[in-house]
Amino acid sequence: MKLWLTLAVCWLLTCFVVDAKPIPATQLFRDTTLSQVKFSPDGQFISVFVNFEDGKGLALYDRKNNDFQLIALVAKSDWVQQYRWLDPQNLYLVSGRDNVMIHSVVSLSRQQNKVTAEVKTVPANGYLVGQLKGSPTRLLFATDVGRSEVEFQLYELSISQLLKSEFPAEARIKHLLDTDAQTRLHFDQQSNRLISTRLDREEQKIHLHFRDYGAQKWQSLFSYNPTDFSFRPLQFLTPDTLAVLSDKNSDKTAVYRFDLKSQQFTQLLFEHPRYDLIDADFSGSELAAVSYFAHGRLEQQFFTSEQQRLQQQLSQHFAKQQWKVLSSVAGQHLLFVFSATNPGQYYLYQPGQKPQLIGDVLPELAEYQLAETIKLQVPAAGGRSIESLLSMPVMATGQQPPALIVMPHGGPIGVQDTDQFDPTVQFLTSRGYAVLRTNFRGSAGYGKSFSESGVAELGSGIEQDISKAVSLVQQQYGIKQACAMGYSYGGYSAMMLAIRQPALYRCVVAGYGIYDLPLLFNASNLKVQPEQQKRVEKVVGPLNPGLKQRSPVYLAAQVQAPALLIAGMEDDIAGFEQSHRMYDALTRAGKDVQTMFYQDTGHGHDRWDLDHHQIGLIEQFLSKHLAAANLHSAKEQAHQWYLQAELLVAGEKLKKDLPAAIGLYQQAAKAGHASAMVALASAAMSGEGLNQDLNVAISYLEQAAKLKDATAELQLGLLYSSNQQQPADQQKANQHFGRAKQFAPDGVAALYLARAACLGWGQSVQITQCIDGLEQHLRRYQQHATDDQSQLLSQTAHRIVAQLLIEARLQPAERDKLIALLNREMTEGVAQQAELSEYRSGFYSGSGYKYEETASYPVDPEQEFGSALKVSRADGVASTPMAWLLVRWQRQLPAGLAHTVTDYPVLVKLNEVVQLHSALTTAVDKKTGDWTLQVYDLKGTRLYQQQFNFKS
Amino acid sequence: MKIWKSILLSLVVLQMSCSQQVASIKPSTQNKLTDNHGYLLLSVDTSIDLEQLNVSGQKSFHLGAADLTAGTHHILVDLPAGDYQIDSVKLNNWWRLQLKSGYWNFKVQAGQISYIGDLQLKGRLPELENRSSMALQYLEQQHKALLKNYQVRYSGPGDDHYFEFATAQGVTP
Repeated sequence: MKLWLTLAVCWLLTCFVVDAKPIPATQLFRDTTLSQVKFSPDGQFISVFVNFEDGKGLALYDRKNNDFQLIALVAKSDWVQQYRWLDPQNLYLVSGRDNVMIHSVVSLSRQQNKVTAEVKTVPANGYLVGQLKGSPTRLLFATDVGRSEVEFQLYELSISQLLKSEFPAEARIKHLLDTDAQTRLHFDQQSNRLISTRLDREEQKIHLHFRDYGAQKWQSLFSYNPTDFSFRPLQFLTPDTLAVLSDKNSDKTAVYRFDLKSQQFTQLLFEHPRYDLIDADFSGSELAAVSYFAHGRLEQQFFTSEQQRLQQQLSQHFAKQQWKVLSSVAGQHLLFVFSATNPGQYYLYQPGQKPQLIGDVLPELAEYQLAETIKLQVPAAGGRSIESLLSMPVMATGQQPPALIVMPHGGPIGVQDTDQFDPTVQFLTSRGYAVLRTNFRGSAGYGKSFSESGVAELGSGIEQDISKAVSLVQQQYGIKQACAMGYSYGGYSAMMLAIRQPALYRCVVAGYGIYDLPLLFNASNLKVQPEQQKRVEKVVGPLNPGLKQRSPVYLAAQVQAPALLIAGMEDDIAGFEQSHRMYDALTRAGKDVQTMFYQDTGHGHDRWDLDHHQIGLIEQFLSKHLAAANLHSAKEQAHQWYLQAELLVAGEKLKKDLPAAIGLYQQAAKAGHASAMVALASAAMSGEGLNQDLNVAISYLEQAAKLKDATAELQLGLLYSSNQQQPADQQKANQHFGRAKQFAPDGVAALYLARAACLGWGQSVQITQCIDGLEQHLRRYQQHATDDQSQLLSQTAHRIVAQLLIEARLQPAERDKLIALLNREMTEGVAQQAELSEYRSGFYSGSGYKYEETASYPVDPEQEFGSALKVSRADGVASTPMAWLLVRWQRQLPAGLAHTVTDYPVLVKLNEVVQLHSALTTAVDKKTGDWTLQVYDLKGTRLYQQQFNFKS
Repeated sequence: MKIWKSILLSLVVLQMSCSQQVASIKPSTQNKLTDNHGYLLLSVDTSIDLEQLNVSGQKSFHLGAADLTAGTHHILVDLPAGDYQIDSVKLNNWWRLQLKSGYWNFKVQAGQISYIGDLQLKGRLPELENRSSMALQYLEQQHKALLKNYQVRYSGPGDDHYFEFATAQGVTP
């Protein structure tokens, strides 16, 4: 009985014990899975931007099955800025690739309950200004924008005209006010008005004008300097009045009625006694709701009975959470629900029914317990009250009380901390740290006087506010040790806190910060100009000798805590000299300072892997100085070493250091990191970083393969299928390819298995199975042409097809099918035959068609070698300007064997010269012997051969 | 026509002979300044190789391509003390970047090393940035002997005294 009771108690405990564990950085710092959820205009569809493992793009949400249908795919590396519904059948999507914006129209059609979509790119350079009311859909599109010497033009077009780039003269909208690169147009559909916003950089003013759509005359809406006060138009209430959010005539940002004719705020509609409004909604011309952040939490007040009923219902369903209504159609509402412990969820809600969850923005975090926020308030100078947010750790560390991370925010003016999900806070709390964030004087959200009270208080009043909050936390929670950590102004503040209170702060993490206040006035020949100096004064106060006493650089001798300085070497907001100077001063003062200066990086990262690396580094630093043991997993530590190694090998963000990288890979591999093992195998195969040793390489790969690493299995397959370093064993190769395919079905292993079937490698020849396998795999897994994965599949498939066309015994129909695979991405016809004649060959000089040809060449890894060939027509078909050639590079091995280094197809222009080069890049290649270049046509006929003999 | 061509050619020759090419002093030099001379220290940060950097003032001179390769390079030059300005940067045979007057002035002080900044030419607006801490580390690593004999001071846009503070703290370990 006692045993059963004990077991029952244990079971009960495990049911209710929180699954508290460190949350990996990769789960916290990442793209969201869902965003931008909207109704179609008729409420029939719910559209979502999704980012799933197997696809990214615009999708429709299936309410019945709680599933998503992708209708417009974007590449994994692309980003979506925004999209909008034009009408119930068409959407306008704005996405980006690198620095280029891509505008598209997605057109839906419905057939027997199945929705299909067609995506067409808008060819013109420009942007959608808006669309007119009514049907058919008429768009306003501004074209030729962004070019400083060209004025833009505005057209009224149909969707079809826009997609065909038809800009008829009669469709051009005349009488525009400004048409330069500083002007942006917007169309307000509700009032049928064009709004022009122009930024005058010299005057530092924003000029707003408007005109009725059919009119010619523009009227001034308002002109103002945004650094003096805020002015945000919400909507036209009447033809002559505007609802505006502003703090021009009040301490707090409030909602006003603004008279366009007199240019005066005529009526205060709502002002909160303590907080700035962030938004206001109207029902017709009646104020319906306002919202603001109260102690970091989104709060809303509703003024119509309908809205108040909705608020009551939602508050019951989502008690303790924050929510906002995104849109409403036909009595249905789309909601976004969030909190400090909820990164965000989208719901569909109909009054009287239970809200239907559409999805989570970060669903992987569901298995982790996130830290709640405790709200604190302390009195400060001038009768003010300072609000703080404290997040306590989730897990029991055996260390009571926890160490505290004091995290001042950036700014310091005009920024605030809010009670929403914060990945850095959750990263730290899940590792046993408490985190304190304070909205010190100068923070946004509390009115102008509170914001202005932070001016010239850097290193003084601001840090006093933070310290008061810290004292309260120390009293209430018995905190004994802390570190200060922050970015930008937060970095400066962290340093100053540690300087002022050396007994409390055990360490400092300061990223992308400022540390020399006078330097802000003298940073460059542009920053010394009067208008720039004024900008700095508005935050720091006037330049005066006293600023040195509040600059960590000149107080370096007083820094007792070890410091971690993080900076971007191309930071043009804080300036890299600030961090370097701080490092220099601390080093001269004999202080303990560690740096992480990222090359080619500005005021923070634009890649998640770098954020992972950075927070991992911070974690190591904190745990070293706060004696917090066992708060991170060995797996994460191994991944951190691996990330660091990758950056050192790439030499892009960190200075290239191959020996250090190898050391880190080895540490990570010892800790069981499969990708690190694969990297070491690659080093051992190539002889770069490790001695070239095939057995060592195979050993690393086999270890990684035991951990079900698909890349390791693939590499083993490629090793065993090649005769370069050992006799080939095709059966073994196929086993490895098979496992690689099992672990990564969307990878290239399936293509190599298909190749084996065509060539009879390790199995009987099965040409049909081979070609079908290639086709099906590409059709299934090649998503977006610009995706890295899709490009890898395409390149691998092309190489394999080239090899098969050269080597395999094919019937004409089989050959045609393989050629069709090469041509699947071609829009024009390609010639199957060409004629070649040698133009030049030998060591390439590096420019033009200059080659040095000799009987034998020295082994020189810096030197490209190859041939330039003249390509001419062979099939007499004048309409095809291009032809495929198949290129094969081989290296002679001992015992007369030939190893094929690479096969690949190349698309050449007829009647031009093609240059085919190789180089002795790897340790395996850097040997004496013969290399052969062969060129074939698609029929497998050899057109050209040239040998290159290398001698020591 | 020939007369105009001669005058034009003369002007070109005159211009070339008025602007002397100078090269950066090599590391660990034992060079001594003559009377009323000082050292100019600047760095150039560029993503492409440049042809020439033209400076006018007390003495007109230009830095040549050897000192202006892609990357970041500190350049130390012995010059007559006085006022100067950076006029232009010749990118190649076809493009010259003319710098707006009034923003690129500096002074070379006699008997000392005058650091004027880091000339940033990496694709955004050209800027002369104060990177004194990096300049000081460069001098301590490459021109120890010079630094023993001559003090280094900031002589670029604005007012900055980091050199005085840092050198009082001692050399970077």
